[in-house]
Amino acid sequence: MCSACGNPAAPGHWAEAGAQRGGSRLRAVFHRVSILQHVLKPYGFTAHTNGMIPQIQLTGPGGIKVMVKDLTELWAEVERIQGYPIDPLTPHGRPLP
Amino acid sequence: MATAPDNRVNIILLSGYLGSGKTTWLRHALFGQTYGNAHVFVQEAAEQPVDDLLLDKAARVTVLTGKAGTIEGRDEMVAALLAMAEARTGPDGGDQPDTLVIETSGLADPADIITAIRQHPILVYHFALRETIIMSDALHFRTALESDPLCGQQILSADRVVIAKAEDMPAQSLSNLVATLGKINPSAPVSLSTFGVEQPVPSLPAPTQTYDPARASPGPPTCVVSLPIPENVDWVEFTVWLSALLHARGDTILRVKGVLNTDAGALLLQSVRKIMQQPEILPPEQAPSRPGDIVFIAEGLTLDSLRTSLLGFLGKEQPSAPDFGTGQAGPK
Repeated sequence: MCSACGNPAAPGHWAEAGAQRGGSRLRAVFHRVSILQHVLKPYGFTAHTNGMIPQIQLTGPGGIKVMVKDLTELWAEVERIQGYPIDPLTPHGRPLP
Repeated sequence: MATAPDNRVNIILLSGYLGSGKTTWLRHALFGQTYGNAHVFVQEAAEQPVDDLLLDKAARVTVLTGKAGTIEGRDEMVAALLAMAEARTGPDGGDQPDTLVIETSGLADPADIITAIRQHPILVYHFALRETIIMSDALHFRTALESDPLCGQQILSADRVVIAKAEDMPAQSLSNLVATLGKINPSAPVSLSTFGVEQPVPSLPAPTQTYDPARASPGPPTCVVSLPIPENVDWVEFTVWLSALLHARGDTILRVKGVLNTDAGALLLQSVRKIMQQPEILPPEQAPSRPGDIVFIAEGLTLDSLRTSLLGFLGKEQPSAPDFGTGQAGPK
C-alpha cells in the first residue's frame, strides 16, 4: 500500500512493467508524463506528476482535475470529459477537435 | 512448472471443439507432470460430464457446468477460483496446486477470464493467465473452419495451437492445414499431438492452398500486420501510443503480441481486444537479440496506417523506408 495516498499496491499497469526498480521507474514515470503533455496539449488537457504518488493528475479544458492511476484510466477519463476518445488511427495521429 | 514470479497461480486455458483431443492431450500432460501439481477446471455444459473421470492424474478436478461465455458460467468460474484462492491462504495452504488448467469446449475467450480476475479484489493477487492452448482436430478442421465462425475465433485467441489426429492425414493436407493456421494467427506456434504425445510439426511439402474461416459478421476482413518498432521510438512512447490505440480501437483489434525491449528486460506483450495481459519479463536466455515485430490481428488495419499513426501520434518523423525497424538508427 502506498504510504502517501493509501492506494493498494495492486499488480502494476502493463505499461509500467518495463521499469520496476526505483530510478528507472521514476525516469519512466516522468518520461511518460512528458509524452502525455505533448499528446494531450492539442485537446486542451495537461498531465502532471510529482513522482511521489502513483497517480497522474489530469487537467481538462475548463480546469477540471482528476487523478488517474494508469494509462488505461487516463484515456477513459479523457473520453469521458471531452465526449470522444483520442483515436491514434485517425489521420495525422492527433486529430484536433 | 512453478508459480509465477509474484507467486500467483499460472492459468492454462485449454480449448477446442468437442472431440478435438483436449482431454487426451491433457491426460498426457498431467501424466508427464508438464504442469506440476495441477488443479483442473472442466467447464462443460453436459449434464453428465465425463472428462473429470478421465483426469485422475490431476491433484484436483472441479467440474463447472455453467456454459463458457455466459454470466452464469463466469460467476461459477469466479466462485471456484475464490474457493481455490482461499484454500491457498488457509491453514493447509502449503500443499496447493501451482497451476490451474481450465478445459472448456466453448469459445475460449481469454478476455473474459482476464477481466474476471483483474476486476476481482482477491483473485487479482492469486491468478495470472499464462497461456491459451487451442486443440484442433486435423480431420474435421477444414469443415469446422469454413462453416462455424467459432472455429476461426478460437484460433485467433490461441497462444499456441496443437493439432490432434494428424497421424493418418496426408502430408499435403497437413501442410495446407498448418499454413491456414499460420495465416489466421501467425503468432501462435503449431505442434502435433499423437494420442496426447506432443511433437513438433515435421518438414512438410509446400502448401497448395489455404482455407478461409467463416465469418460471424460482415465488416472489414481480419488481417495480420507485423509492425517493426522504429529505432526512434522508445518503449515508454510505444506503450503510451498502444494504450491509446487499444482504448479507442480495442473492439476491432483482436490480438496484439510481441516483445518490447525495456529497462527491465525483454517484455512479452499480449493483449486480447482491449485487455492487455500483465506482461512477463522474459529471462535473458529467452529474450530475442533484437526487438522483433509487434503483431496485430485486427479488422481493417494496414502496416502503413499503424506506422503513420505511431509516428504521427508521438510527433516523430517518418524514418526512410530502408531504415525502418532494421536495427539502424532512424532520424531523431
